[in-house]
Amino acid sequence: MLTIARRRPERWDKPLDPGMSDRAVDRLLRVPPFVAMDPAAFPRTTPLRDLLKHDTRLLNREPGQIVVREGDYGSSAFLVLDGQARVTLENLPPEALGRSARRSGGLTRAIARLFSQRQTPEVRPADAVLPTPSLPGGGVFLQDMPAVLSSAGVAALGPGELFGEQAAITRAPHTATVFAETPCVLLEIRWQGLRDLMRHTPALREHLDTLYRRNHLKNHLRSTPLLAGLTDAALDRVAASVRFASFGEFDWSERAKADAVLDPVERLRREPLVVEEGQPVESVVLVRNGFARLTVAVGEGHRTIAYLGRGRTLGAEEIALAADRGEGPKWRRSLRAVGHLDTLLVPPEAFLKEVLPTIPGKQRRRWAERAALPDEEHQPAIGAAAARTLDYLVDQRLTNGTQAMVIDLDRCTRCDDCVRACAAMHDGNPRFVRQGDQHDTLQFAQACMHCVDPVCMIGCPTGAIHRDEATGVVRINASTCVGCSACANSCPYSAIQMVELREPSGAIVVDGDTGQPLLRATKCDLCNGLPSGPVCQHACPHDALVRLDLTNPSTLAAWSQH
Amino acid sequence: MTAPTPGPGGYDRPNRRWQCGCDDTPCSRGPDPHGRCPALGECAPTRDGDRWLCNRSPLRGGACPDGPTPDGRCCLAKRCRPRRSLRAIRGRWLRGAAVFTLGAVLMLLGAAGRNEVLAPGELTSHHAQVIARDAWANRCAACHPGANNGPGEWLASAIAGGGDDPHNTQSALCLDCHKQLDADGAAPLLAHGLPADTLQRRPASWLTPTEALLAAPRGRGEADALACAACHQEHHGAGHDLAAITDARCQACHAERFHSFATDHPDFGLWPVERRTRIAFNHGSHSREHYVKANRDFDCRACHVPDAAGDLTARVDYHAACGECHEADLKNSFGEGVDFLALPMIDHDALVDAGHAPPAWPDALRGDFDGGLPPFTKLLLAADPRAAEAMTLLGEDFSFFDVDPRDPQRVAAAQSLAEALRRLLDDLQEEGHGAVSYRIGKLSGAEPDKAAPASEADLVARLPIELVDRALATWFSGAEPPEPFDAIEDRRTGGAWSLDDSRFTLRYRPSGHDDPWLRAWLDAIAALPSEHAALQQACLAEFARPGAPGGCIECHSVERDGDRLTINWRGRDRLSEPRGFTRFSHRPHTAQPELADCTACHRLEEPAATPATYATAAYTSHDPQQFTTDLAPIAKAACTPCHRPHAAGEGCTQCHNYHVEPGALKGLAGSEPKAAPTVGGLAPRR
Amino acid sequence: MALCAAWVAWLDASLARTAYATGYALWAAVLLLAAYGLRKKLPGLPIGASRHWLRWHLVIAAVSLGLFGWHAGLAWPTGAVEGALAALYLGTFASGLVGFYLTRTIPRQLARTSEQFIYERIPRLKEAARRDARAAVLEAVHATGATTLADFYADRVHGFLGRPRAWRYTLRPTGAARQRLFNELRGVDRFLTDPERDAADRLFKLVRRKDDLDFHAARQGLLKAWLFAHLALTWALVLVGTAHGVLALAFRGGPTP
Repeated sequence: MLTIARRRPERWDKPLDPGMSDRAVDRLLRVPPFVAMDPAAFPRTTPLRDLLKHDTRLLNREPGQIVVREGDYGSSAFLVLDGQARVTLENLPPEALGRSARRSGGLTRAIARLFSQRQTPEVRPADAVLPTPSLPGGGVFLQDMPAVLSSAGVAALGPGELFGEQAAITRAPHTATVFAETPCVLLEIRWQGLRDLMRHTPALREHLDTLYRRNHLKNHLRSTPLLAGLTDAALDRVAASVRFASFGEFDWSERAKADAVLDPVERLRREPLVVEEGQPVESVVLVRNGFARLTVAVGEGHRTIAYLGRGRTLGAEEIALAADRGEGPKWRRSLRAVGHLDTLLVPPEAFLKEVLPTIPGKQRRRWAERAALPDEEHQPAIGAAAARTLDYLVDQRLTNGTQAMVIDLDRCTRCDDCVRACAAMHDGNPRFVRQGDQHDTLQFAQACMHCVDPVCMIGCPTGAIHRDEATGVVRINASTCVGCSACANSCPYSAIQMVELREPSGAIVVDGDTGQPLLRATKCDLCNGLPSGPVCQHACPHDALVRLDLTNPSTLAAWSQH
Repeated sequence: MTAPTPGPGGYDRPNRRWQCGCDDTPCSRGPDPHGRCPALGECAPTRDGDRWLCNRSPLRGGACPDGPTPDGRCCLAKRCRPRRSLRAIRGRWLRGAAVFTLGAVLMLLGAAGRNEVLAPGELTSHHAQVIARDAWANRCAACHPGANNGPGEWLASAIAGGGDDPHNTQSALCLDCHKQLDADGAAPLLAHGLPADTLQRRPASWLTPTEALLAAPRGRGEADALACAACHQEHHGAGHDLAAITDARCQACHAERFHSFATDHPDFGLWPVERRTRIAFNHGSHSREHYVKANRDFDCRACHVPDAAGDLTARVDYHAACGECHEADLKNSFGEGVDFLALPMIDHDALVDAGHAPPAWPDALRGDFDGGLPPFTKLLLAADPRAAEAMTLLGEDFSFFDVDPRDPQRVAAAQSLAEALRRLLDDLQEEGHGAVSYRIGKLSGAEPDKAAPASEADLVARLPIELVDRALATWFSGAEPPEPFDAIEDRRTGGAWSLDDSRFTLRYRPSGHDDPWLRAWLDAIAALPSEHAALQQACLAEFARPGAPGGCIECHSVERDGDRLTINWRGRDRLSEPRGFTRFSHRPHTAQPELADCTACHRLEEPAATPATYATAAYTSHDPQQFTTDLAPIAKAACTPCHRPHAAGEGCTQCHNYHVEPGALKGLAGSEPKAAPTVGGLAPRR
Repeated sequence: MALCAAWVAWLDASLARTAYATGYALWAAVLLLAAYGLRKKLPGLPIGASRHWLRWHLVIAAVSLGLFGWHAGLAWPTGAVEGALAALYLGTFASGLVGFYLTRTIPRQLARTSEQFIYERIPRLKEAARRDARAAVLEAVHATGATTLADFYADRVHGFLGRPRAWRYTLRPTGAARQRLFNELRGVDRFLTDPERDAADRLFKLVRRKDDLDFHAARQGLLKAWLFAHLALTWALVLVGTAHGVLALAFRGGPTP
């Protein structure tokens, strides 16, 4: 028997909670916000009822139990149905959140992995192949709740309130901790469901924007370096004046592969322009999510001189300098959205009034000096390796990677130690391909980069691909993956490979109905929990392979120079 | 990337043992772990009515253009011979290499001719010659105790540390041949081959703190045995110097830091003249006075000649060196002969008055007490208890002249001596030579039978007993002396005994220098045990006085050797001395033109002792260490111009021996204060 | 090295037999060097990154050469086992040096080609290039009926694409064959029809690709062959070295401090 037949898993094979009853769904449909939703607006394949039935679950939380923990990555939003929860407005110490300093047992795991390799590729135990429900277990209780409650920075969340939605939608860590104050009944909505609900309910979308403005905007502004000097009152006034603007497509990954091979002029033309060089400055741009390319016109084309990620701003310099000279500010650079870009726009008046006075004179003098110099003075020459690398990183959207695998071909002896080490740590299966786009002597191998914006998650119907709560590593939960290939197709970097599963006997598992092999998405998991870190880097004898954070252009430059 | 992805999942799997053997595109399954090709199709066609439809997975490339075969099988079923992966091939070769090497090593260890292969290098030619006499298969075992064992036992002994049997070590095998190292009193494996208590230790406080610190971790006492192989390492080729050793290794024990000969070596003290010479020879007076008077050149090399080893340590003999000037004096000192026996004048009346019965005595010798006894007679009498008693009473250096006839005790002693003399003569007549050797043997005490026969013969020097008969006959019985004739002298060589009837003496006329009779008697005097010290002194004084017969002791020094005295008949013989700590050879030195003249090093002290003081100061005592010398000590400074690195060298073993014979210590042990610097001033570390 | 010398001098001054102490040290050094191979089989354990191991591998190798010099006394040993062992050590060391040179020069040469290839994939890629070339030429023949390019292909190019390269090339790859083919293709160009000319352009690319593949196969193959030789020598060295050590200890002839 060299093949074995099983049923192909589907999206809702593994509901969030198999115990979710129709009665509960009926009750849900009678409370806001679901009562306000129009079931007719939902398509036939994903009716509202089924969404609620499969993508939500009811949770009971005891007083003091943590619902979401700041710093954790989450993929669900929570709706308070009954009882009262509290959200902390200030950061809590890790001990209060029940975090231990370090995960232990990594060594034993590594040894166990070493000696449990198989010669048969992609073997899964039979029960892992079967669609079985699995529930994340346990809860963490807040240490010393009265002390936390008595401190001022705690806000109440009553029935009808939604929280955790920003972390779920933006694939970012939670910014605050929410814990139950009284016994609570919560509805957990995993982000796939939330996304569908949002898509078909404009009111919900608006509600989320409002929530964002209320709960997160100030946090975001506060963490923006430019606004660091503002008082709370001034920050409130700035927040009130902020406008939201989004550029590019949310599902940008679908076109990313096609864009990567376009000629540079066409590619740049396609990227949505946020601000244009020479045009008057209408607002200071704060990047909320995604990446933007900063370009300057050179000759007939545009050259990339930087890329801006979350928290970076543009326009302050222009307005400040123009204010000094007393003329109308003009953009010195163009800003283009690479993929999807969420921005916050601060009107110049608010900026001049609230922000500019807080900027230190030293910084303003530096701006003035920089503006006086022509670009050639402080930018690498056109065509120089550093300049081309910058273009390349943005063109290929590699700036998304926090753990990109970069191979220095000048050092790599092609010994495959990295691949073998990887295989040894993953039951005999490598989790990356030592091939990939080459730029000069750098090769960007097909290994998961653990992106800032993991677009692979977008299409996942079951949430199998998720961020590890503690570490932010993008992982695939093998037991909930249905093998739909959505993530592999979404990944612009070909870092996810679909594999055919086998039983320990070596037989390939096929779908009983169609006779086609069952697939699973596989990719680099950064050797989660191994004491040595990613073994590929650890195993490279020539220091040719590294995992680099490309969201910051200086890391690559620093490494190439060593 | 347009590259086709091998196998399922798109991953390269260099860790797998088997790879699909298909040349063009590999199948999606790949071989199983045992390297078998599953030979299955890419899809399992489904039936739709009477048609077979391809349902190849999109991951495998989607539905194929050709579609399933009419009988419903996949058209893309491939069959191949899976290939081993590079890693599997490499692993097999590596295991092969390891097994081959292991096999080769084991075969080698078990093979009959393993000795040739295992020998780690040629032996030095000396050892190789010795070993060559053994059977080939047994060669290694000649030096290595476990050589005939199997590999397993080797492994065990390598792990256990070897040498579990103290009597079967390699060093023991070395000593089977090098027996001289294992002589009596030696401890061949201890420091310097000497018993641990022989070497003196400096107190640790003698070292500077740094030296003590450096010395500390190397702790190795002189009681710790050191295998021969610690220094003598074989198998380094035929020409290898087995005795080569670095100075640093000496300093493993000798803690005082030694950096260079010039700065750190102690001075030589009195070297080379560390005791008075055995033959008293005043170089100063001879060169300045006697040779000038004799109008001769004082040439060192005329007397100091090369020995058997080629070094300048031998001397020409008396006849070549001294005889020319001193022979006449020496002959004259004997005169007509040396009195061996002499009868004293005795006061017959005094004896009778004292109530004694004097023995028959020649009439010519009756009168007042007078006359002395020659030392030979005294010695022979000393063996007679009553005579010895009398001599003690009278004092060993007595003369009959001193006997007061009014003192009954002394008169009695004289009576005993006269009787003893008669007994001696009677003994001689009756027992002949045996009487002499019996009496001397009795005197020397402890070991009567140890007196060598040769010296026994020398003591009597073929004394014709007829002479004794005749003496008894003529002296005591009043017979007429026969006509003097030299028949006895003619008949006998090597000595001349004669009777002087007028003086009543039995005389011996020595043949000249190196007369065996005289030497034997002097040796007998020197060998007297300490209870006869007074007698000994009295006898020696006879020979030491000016004009004494032969004047032997004037040149041949007498020195104390334990409880006896010895007379140095010969000068120092370097070749027969036991091997000591230091060695010096003139040969390489005199080869240097500027050193060819002996006086370049051996300078005569300018304010030289006069002959008289020289003799008295240096040679009256029996202690050879109390002396004055006319030769200036040679200072280290004489050596340092040449003995430095990159010149003549300054290695320890250039002048010092490691292996020392126990006998060499004897001279050192008796004079401890001076001995330590002689050993080099280097204290063995604690 | 200086420390080594000082240590040997100290041993000598302690009446130790330096051959044993340096032997132990040398054996330990060789084991440490060989342990790098073992470490490669144990990824994921926190036993130091491979690059640090390699750095120490080089340092210890240099030290071991000094130890070897002192141990063998700067003379070729006369015994058979010792001679073989010295040959193995020096062979291993020399192969290490060669490897040091290769691993620092070949990557640059490999990186110069337009595309990077995984060694195991190369035979299939070659096969694909040959198939593509054949298809391109056949297509041109079908399109025009002219056989000029097809004849040229069969005569000159097919062999190049199908044949493995000579041994000489493996050791010292050159671009001569590729250049010659390019020149010939250019020479043929004037006799070709338009579809054939397109096919000829394609051939250009495939010849270049095949040459790159050959280059990668040769250079990567050399690196792999080198590592194999180095490892095989290491195994033999460790085994013979152990045997030598056992013999030396069994025959040491007295306590060896």
